[in-house]
Amino acid sequence: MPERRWSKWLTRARGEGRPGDDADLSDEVAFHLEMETKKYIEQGQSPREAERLARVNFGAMQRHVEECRDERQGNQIDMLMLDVRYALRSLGRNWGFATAAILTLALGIGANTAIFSMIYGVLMRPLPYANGSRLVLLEQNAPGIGVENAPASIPQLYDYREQSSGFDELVEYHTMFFILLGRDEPERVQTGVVSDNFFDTLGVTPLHGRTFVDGEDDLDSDPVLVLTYDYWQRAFGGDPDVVGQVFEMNTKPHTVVGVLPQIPQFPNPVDVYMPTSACPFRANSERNMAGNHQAFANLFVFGQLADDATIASASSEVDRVIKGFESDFPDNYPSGGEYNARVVDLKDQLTSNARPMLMMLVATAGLVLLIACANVANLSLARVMRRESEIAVRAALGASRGRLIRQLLTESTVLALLGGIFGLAFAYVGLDILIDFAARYTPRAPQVSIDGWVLLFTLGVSVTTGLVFGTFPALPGTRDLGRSMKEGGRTTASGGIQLRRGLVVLQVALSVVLLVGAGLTLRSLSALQAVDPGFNTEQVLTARVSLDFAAFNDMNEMHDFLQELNRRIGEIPIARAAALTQKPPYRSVNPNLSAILIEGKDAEDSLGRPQVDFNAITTDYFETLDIPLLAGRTFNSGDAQGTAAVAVINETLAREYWPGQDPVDTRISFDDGENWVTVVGVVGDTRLYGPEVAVVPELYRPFGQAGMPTWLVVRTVGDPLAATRAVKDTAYSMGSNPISDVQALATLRDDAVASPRLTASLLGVFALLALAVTLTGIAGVMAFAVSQRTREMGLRLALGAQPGKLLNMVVRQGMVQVAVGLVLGVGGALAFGQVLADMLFSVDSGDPTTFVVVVVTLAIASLIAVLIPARRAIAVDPATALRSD
Amino acid sequence: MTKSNVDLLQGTLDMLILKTLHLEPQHGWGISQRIQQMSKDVLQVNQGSLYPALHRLQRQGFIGSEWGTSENNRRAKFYRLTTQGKKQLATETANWQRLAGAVAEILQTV
Repeated sequence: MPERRWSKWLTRARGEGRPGDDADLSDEVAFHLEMETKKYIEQGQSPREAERLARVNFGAMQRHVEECRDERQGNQIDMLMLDVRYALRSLGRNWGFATAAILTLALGIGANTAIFSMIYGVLMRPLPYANGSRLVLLEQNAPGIGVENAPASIPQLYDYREQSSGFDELVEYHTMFFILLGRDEPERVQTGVVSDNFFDTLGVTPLHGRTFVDGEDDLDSDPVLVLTYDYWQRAFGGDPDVVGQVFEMNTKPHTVVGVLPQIPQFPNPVDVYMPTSACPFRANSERNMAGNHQAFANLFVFGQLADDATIASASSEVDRVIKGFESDFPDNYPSGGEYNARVVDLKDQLTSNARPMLMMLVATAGLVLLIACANVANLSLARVMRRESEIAVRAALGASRGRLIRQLLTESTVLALLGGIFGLAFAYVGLDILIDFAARYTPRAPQVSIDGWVLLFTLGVSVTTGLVFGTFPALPGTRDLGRSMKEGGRTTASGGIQLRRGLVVLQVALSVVLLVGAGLTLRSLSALQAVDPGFNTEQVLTARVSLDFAAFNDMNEMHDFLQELNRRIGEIPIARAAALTQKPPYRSVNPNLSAILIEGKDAEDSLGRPQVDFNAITTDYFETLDIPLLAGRTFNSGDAQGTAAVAVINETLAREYWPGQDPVDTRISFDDGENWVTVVGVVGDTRLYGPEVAVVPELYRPFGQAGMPTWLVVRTVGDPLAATRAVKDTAYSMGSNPISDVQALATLRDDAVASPRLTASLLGVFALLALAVTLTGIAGVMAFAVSQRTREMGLRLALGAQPGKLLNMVVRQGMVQVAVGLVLGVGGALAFGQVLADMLFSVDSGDPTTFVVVVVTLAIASLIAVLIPARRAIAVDPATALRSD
Repeated sequence: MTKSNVDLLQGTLDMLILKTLHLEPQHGWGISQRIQQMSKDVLQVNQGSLYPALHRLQRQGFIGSEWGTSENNRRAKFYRLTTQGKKQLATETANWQRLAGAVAEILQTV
């Protein structure tokens, strides 16, 4: 009756004859009851009895009020509220189903909320710099001489400024550590050295005080400092009065002029910023840079694009400028360098490391949500199928199909929203872990939070989820109602069970993907953990000694100080051995290789020379770290300045360049044969850079003959950190050289695999949950399918079917969908492996062992999930089964 | 007062309400009493279903309503027939008579 509906809408639209609301109705009913009571009193009843009769005649009040409301067809909100109330009531009656569904959804939605807040905070949110969208970073390359991403020199920066028009500003940045005096202990502060308009270019407004002003990077201006938010909090407890305080650095007073807000720090986190003039190294280079176009090639160059410039136009400009350098300054630019330059979006640079990790998380969270959806769709489908006759009755009583679907969708959406609320709680709890995780990849991690956009996302995901998994059951569930009625709810629309089987296939497939992902990362992790570092990480303290260069007159004084410090720390009661090294374990990212010449080998072929990672150490280094001596000897106190030049090499270097020979007493040279160094020993390989970095040829020289080792390693009795105070006191009793970065070596070793461990745990947890959800899904569908066939089973048994064969048949039918799911899942897992490939160590993303283990495990688990309900089905007593209805 | 009452067939209540309102505007209780009276107490209106029916008819545009004062000076909601309602009453009456006539015919012949 479409015209009726039209007139209804028109009536409402015209606002005429609009029926009253509930208050109106209750007035009306009150009047009715009053009149009815009066009537009975006039007939001679007592007032109380009269009132009772009136009420009895009228019947259940609330029901009528609701019926009236239905008849009025009030507004859509009323209808929705009614549906929601009905949904809540109906879910309350099925709390088992509701709990399972809400928890499953909370898991899926929670995972996606957490991941989205990461994606949003890291990749999508604009940089917290006012000029964020126009900021670029200069990149210089010279592939012809193997140089990538070369920092700029002072003259280069000045020429870029002069010879390009595509930038409003070009500013520089480099980082150094200095020693800050004037607090309780001398303190090593990582310092960002920047142009005076650096913060204006970025568009950063200080939290307190000011940033640098024009002219503060002039060579003769007074040194000033701006503190970063984190350092201000850590060192000064967030005291705004720090502005105006004066500290000594590089033997000069430095005045704190401002505090920065919390902003991502790129490329490195620093404690304080100073203008370029305050850095003695840079200032010195600038004074003496004439004739050296590569002077102080240590600078990052940030730019703000001019209004009419694009990344492409600015890139071609800087490329033109660098090509000019090559011809203008042939002395400073080796020929054949293929020099080129370009600018890149700063935001991309800030986040590029985090992208693969985030993509992996997005994929995982998406899969988890899909499984959750499939599972809840499955559960609701089962429920709708059980309610088929109820639905049919309601349809017969006049509910339209649209109305029924709407009711079912309301139910699923209510479920999903409840899931969303719990999911938000999950996300909130888990977010801190994820932020720590992300901080390993991007300086933007601290900006991740659950804010308005994230809440909007969660709401959107919840509603979409509700509609998606609600549509599956609603469509077949409401289609063929006449037949359900006729069959008295005994059997099921076969479309429903087909759909459920399809959902099981999907769940199995997705589980395979997640399990394979988890398996691969776990194998990768255990491979990482099984890597022998080559040294003993237990009971070792490591710490950094920062030399207060201003306090020393020359290198000899520094050498003597370090040797004395090493000796005194070795005498601390709980120290068993102490040494200094230039390359602390797990603290640097990559080996720094340089070429050596081996005496008697082909000196001409410079490319074929051994590339070694060089380290300078004190005599007790090998003993302190338990690195085994394989041949010859290690260093002793006789190997010092002025005595015969000696070196110790590692096993890999010996094996690769002295194959089948004894390297001891052979000679090598670092300077094309001008000076020769005798190899006196061979020690075991070590992995200083973390387990994933391959062992490189290593060469050790004794401190005094080479290098400046400033990292302490101390083997202790018991807890290494217990020696912290004694180590610091020893150092401070000898001058103002800060001791920082005190860590137990074992902690550093754990940290080195923290990211893969977290990846593996995340994937592992998700995969196990997915597995559990899938297995219950399989068992549920199976149980449902066989319960639909109880009569058939009974009949077959009664007619003499063998239970064994019957079981076989039922199980085979159940396992078909599992098998299809496994096949699809293996395909999906191969694709997912591509996402993971970058994060795997010594495991191929198509690792057959992992695939076989996952498929077999899942097949066995599924078989059990299928067997349990199947056995119950054939255990049925034929007589009972035949009577069952 | 326990006579052998006849429950109203679905749909006939609407017709009887329209018929009652054809005479004069009336409030809900009045309608129920009038139907009972006119049928000489044979038809008992289920008072609970009266109000949903009234709201339904109003939604369909067959009757209108306004608040007024009852015979004993109480505030009451009075329903009145609309032009559309009059037409509907005529149609339904004709239908009913055709149906009743047909049923009677069958009952007599058998």
